[in-house]
Amino acid sequence: MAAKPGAAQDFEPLRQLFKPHIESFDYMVEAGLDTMFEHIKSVEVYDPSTTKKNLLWLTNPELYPPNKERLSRTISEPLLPFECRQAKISYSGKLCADVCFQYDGGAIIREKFNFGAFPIMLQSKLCHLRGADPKKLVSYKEEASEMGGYFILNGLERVVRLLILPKRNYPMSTVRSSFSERGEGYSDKAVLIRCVRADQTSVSVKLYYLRNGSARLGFWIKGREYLLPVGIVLKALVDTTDHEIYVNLTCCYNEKCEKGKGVVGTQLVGERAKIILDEVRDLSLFTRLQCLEYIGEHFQPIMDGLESNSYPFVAETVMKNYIFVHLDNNFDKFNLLIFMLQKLFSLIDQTSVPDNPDSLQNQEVLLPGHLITIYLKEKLEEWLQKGIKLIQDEISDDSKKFDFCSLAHVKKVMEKNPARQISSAVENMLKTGRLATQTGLDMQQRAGYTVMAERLNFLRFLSHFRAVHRGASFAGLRTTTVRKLLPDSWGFLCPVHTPDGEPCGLLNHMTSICKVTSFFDAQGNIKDYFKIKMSVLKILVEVGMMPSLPKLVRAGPPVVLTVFIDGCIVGSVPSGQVEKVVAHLRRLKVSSAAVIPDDMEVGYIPLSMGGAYPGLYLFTSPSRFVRPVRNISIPSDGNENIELIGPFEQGFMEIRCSDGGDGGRKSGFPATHEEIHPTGMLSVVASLTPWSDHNQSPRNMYQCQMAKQTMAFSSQAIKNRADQKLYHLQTPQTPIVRTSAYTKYSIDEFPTGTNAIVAVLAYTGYDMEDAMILNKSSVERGMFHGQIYQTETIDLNDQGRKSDRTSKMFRRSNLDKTVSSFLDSDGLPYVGQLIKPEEPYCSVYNEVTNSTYTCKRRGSEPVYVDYVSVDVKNKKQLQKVNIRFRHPRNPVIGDKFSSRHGQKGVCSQLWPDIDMPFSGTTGMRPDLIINPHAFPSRMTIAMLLESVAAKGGSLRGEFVDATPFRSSVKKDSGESGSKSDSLVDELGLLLKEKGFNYHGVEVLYSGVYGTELTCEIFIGPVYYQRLRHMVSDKFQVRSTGTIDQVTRQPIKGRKRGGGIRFGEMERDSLLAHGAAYLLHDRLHTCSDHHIADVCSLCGSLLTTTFQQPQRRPVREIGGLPPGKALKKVFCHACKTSRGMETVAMPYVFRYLAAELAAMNIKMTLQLSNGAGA
Amino acid sequence: MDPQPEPVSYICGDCGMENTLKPGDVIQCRECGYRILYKKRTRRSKFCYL
Amino acid sequence: MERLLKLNRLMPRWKVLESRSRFLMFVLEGTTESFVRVLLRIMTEEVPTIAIHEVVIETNSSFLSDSFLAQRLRFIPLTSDLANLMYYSTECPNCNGRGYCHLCSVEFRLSAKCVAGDVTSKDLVTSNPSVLPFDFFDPTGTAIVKLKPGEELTLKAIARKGIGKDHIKWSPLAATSAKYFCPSDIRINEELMETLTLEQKKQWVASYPTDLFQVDPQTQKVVLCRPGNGYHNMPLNPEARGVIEVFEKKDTFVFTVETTGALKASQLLMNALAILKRKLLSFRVLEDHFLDHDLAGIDKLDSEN
Repeated sequence: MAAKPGAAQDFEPLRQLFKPHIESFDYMVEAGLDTMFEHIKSVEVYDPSTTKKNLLWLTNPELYPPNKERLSRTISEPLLPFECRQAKISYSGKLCADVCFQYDGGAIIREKFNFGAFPIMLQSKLCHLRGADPKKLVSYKEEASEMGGYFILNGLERVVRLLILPKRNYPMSTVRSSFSERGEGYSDKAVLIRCVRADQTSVSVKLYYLRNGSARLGFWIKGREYLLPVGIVLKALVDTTDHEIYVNLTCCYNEKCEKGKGVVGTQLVGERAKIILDEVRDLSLFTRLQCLEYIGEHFQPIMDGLESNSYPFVAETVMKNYIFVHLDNNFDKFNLLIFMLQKLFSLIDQTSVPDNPDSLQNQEVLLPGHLITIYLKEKLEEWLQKGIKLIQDEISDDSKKFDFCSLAHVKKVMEKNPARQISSAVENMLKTGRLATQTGLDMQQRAGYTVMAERLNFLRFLSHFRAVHRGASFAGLRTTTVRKLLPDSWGFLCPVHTPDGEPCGLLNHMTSICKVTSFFDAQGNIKDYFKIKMSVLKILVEVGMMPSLPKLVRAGPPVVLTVFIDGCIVGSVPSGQVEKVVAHLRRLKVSSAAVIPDDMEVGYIPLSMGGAYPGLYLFTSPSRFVRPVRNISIPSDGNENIELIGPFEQGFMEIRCSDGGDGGRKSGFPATHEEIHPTGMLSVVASLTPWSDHNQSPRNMYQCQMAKQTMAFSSQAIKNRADQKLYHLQTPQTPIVRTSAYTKYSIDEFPTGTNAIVAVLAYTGYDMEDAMILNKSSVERGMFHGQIYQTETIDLNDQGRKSDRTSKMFRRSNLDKTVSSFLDSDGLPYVGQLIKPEEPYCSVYNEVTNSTYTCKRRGSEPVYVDYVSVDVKNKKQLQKVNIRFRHPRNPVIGDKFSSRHGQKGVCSQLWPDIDMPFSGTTGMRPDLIINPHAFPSRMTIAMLLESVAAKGGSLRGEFVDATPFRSSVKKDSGESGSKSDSLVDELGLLLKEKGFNYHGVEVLYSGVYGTELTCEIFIGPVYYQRLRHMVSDKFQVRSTGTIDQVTRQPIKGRKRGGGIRFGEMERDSLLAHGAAYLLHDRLHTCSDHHIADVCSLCGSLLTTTFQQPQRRPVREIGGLPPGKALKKVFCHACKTSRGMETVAMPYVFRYLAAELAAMNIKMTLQLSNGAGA
Repeated sequence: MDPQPEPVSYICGDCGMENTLKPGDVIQCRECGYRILYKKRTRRSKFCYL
Repeated sequence: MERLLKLNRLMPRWKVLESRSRFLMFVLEGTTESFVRVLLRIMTEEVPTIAIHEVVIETNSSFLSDSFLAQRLRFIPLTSDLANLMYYSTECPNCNGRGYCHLCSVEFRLSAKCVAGDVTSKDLVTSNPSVLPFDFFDPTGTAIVKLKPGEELTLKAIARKGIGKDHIKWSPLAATSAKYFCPSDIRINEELMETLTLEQKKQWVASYPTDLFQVDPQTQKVVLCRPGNGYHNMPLNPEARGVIEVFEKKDTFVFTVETTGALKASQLLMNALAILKRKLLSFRVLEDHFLDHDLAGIDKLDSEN
């Protein structure tokens, strides 16, 4: 089961998990940039004096692999990711592109511009690690299993978060109350579509329903929504007649079928069509040209650079750029708009239900490559716009000598707006995860696009790449509807692996089998979407689709179904034939020879009574979720018949479980597909829990959380890492009981725990309430030993102002002899040395001020210097060091541990070996004791099974397979009948064979008395994880210390030595106990106790001042401090010190008085003798 | 003025060559030109705990 | 009470069942749990051995961190026959408790640079030839670390005398157990048993998980099938009350002692007994005290405490 040491590991399954990130970046590098550059509009500069025009546009983007900047040599050396991490620089390659200039349609002049250092994703086509085998990777100082998929920015690893977006090019009917706030007469219903261009930029269009029966088309330009009557848009799109529009709209209504299955149209459609047409007529717009003029007139002020163009041209541009941008053809746009109207009317008439925007059916994912492409596009467009504005300014400024025709001059002016900023803008976006954009890029959120790829342990690292976030805008929502687990996400998103608490249900994880479609086909070639569309069309026509091209009037849904390919209406299929068409398409999908891509989604929504709006929606686009299932409707001729299906089609498919049963299906709906394995519904982390099907489900969720918080063997290349903080388990073990996913994903590279011998009994009382007793001797022998590696980077260039940059250097002061035992002559610590808190570890000499500054260790624990590395950023001299410290973190009381079943606990005692109970026969003493009360209410049966199985496994020297849902897998023909035994029986027999108790219990002897314990104890090895929450990072204690300047109360924060808040509820409990003195002590004496002088005459607290005692020559007697001058306080308001009294009060009370005074409120105190009050 | 501090040994991160550097020296391996150097261990460190 | 009286008359007797260099199994008869416990405790915690206590690392470019290496070295068992002759480093008169002289410490040196194969315990060079890693003469020693080309490891390790109570590395025991020998005698009340039907008997037998009883297919009688190796303190199901009787015999124990290699198992036992003897010897003083004083003296002692 386990790979032999030395044998080449197969990391391919692991690599699959990172594919969505890498493929999308690869596409961007290979073709995405070119496509995007084609879509950047050319800009024009006009010089009124010479009446010359200059057309500028961008072409030929080139992205280079990361290389070192080295001026002396001609050959550039590759820059490796390791060097970037160590030197805290970015892993980026040069981005170049040509700017083309064309004067008055003359010859095209190309000028190469350097757009700066563009971040490169690791393991992408431009990365030096691509294609390197594990050995080579190790020689590059990487993990043998380095998967890439992230960026290195200033030495930090960041991943682009996968975000849920509305499914592209699919009109979705929506009900949202905010729609009715659009204006007078608006209903809350609309059909919206997110249209995506070939360069991945998108424009959303909404079609609102007005209560008078008409509709408005809404789209956003520069942060404002513009609403157009549909009639105008319909007429402006194509040359058509009112009658044609009417017939097209009403084709979905047929008098013959009144309320049948799949009827979407009603009589009202005709009425509404009339209203729409009347609306246009009322504006006295009759022809296409009139409509265009109308649109153009209204939009000209908004559109940049079209001031001199005619109205129809402006209108055409508006429609090209904002209305259904995924379609190039106005005829297609017209058809789509008609369809959307029909869908909208059907929604109004309740013949179809609204699409759920929270369902995965109507969602896709945002991939890193696409995000970067659209962001880069906007930045380039901005740069061009700014460039021409600079030229324009230069032209209009007469004082300057500017030759518009001289390219050198033009270039010089354009360079005022440095091209290098483009790449740094992208880098910044990846660094901060924030989009700095004017238009919003049709995105729901501005921030949170990237996250740090923490390597706390491998599972956490991996989860960053498999996580899918619903979007930051949903996090603040009060409703829980978006967080709900819907059946639509079955097989795509893991139901187990979502955090509990704040991001619950918003942050999901893809299942281990889930993939994301990309631009690459199975062979790694870029898909040709035009070819695909044509071949699909050909096949569709062959099987009986009526193409939409000859403009014939078609019927509506009950009779025919509209066929879409990627949001483009291509025709219709008679509803009787559609099942056959779908089956045919699926057959072609599976067969490898077919031209149809294997990941095409055949979204067939059948006719229903008021269900989803019917149609046949084919999707070939990238960034859709897909997962493999077995197609059993096709005779398998030795083929596996694995079909990739998407969430859109899944809801209407018949997929049975692979247990051989029919899942309660009626014979009318036979299963056409079958799941490959039931564990396919789990994410990687969730599928590592052994026998998770025997646990109560929330426990599995907790385990997913805790697996990601485990202090584990985080890196094989730990020597070469310079992470700020790195947790490391010294002696990890591979679990005896493991699932098939464990081997598949080579988790043995990064094991996360130890097989501890766990006894379940109440012993010593220190195991109450989820506390656990650790065997002190086991711990001394090395169990759960760990370290934290912490890297401190000191860059003298970063520190201080620019003026004294050059003057700083690392040097030990020769004056202060005390530091020489801590610091070497270069001002840096000795390697391997122990540094205690408040001891210096680095000394910096400032040449200008001739002073030395030493950095001192903070915190409360001693650390070892692991390594000191020096490197250079741009200067040649030593200006930057990385000092890595090693914190020894062996288990102590208060550290947290957990099994793989959501059973966490805190170590409450380290109990010596000799006092632990032991087995009479084997002499075995447990490493860990937990309380039996941990089980009844939590029902983590799998933990008990694990204990029994691991005991059997270790006795036999074998790993035990604990893949969940074993009983739901079709058994191989021979042994289907005989294996009716339960899992417990099977495991029990293993133990019995070796002479152990069938149920995993043993007779234990008390470690204190040496007598037998009165009952048998359940004992066996359980894989335990050490969690990263350690007391050493958390304990907080203070008697006195720093106080807040304003309130004089203790400050908060562990780092600054602050106190722990004694809050309201704590106060309440003391009040309830009547512990008045204690309360006074906590809240006053130990807090901001203050003795204030109060003037009893005016009652003021603020008007008192010290009177400076007269400067008398103080006689100093024999070195004694001068006798304290009696302080004299007097009231400013009363001009006397007569009524002065001292009152003890909290200092904040004085502060309150001052604040009130600032608001012109006077506070007076009435003083009286305690008894008299 | 302080006397010149004694040079400190560094190990090249690429080829493993030992380089001796004085303050103000260029940070670069003399053998291979690599720019990431690790400080050489010069002190004994004691590990003694129960 | 009866049992105690019986024990008072008995002196512990012992019989060796199996004896190998690192393994010893013996039966101890006629004693109580408390004595067994004392013996176990002394063996685990109080028999002194020699173990590496201090590691001074000069160079370490191996993959393992200094503290991990030190940890590995600490647990290499060293032959500790000399331990009784050595001083504890803190109370060494020769070096005033500094702990570096030959009477209270043994120095090991290890120097390796990219050797073929692992760095093992055999690479440790001792300053005292009678204190060696226990597997020094084995073909393969205990692996310490594996080095890559160019990696280097030089260190000095100081081994000192100590006891397992302070740190488990000084414990010579690998595994021990002491259990009741022939833990209980079970007698079946045949008369009562015969009142049960065959079906009831089968049910009754099945209620004991370890196949303790069986129904004889011929005689249809319930028989004890693993006498002596049975089940102690088993849960009696209500119907079984009276059907069987359990006679406890709690004065005989089987001891299993397995050492790490620091000491021979027999040596360990002897050392432990010597320590016990020495401990008991300290009561001599008390004995003398009693002889010298009358009962009033004891009263005085009590009041002082």
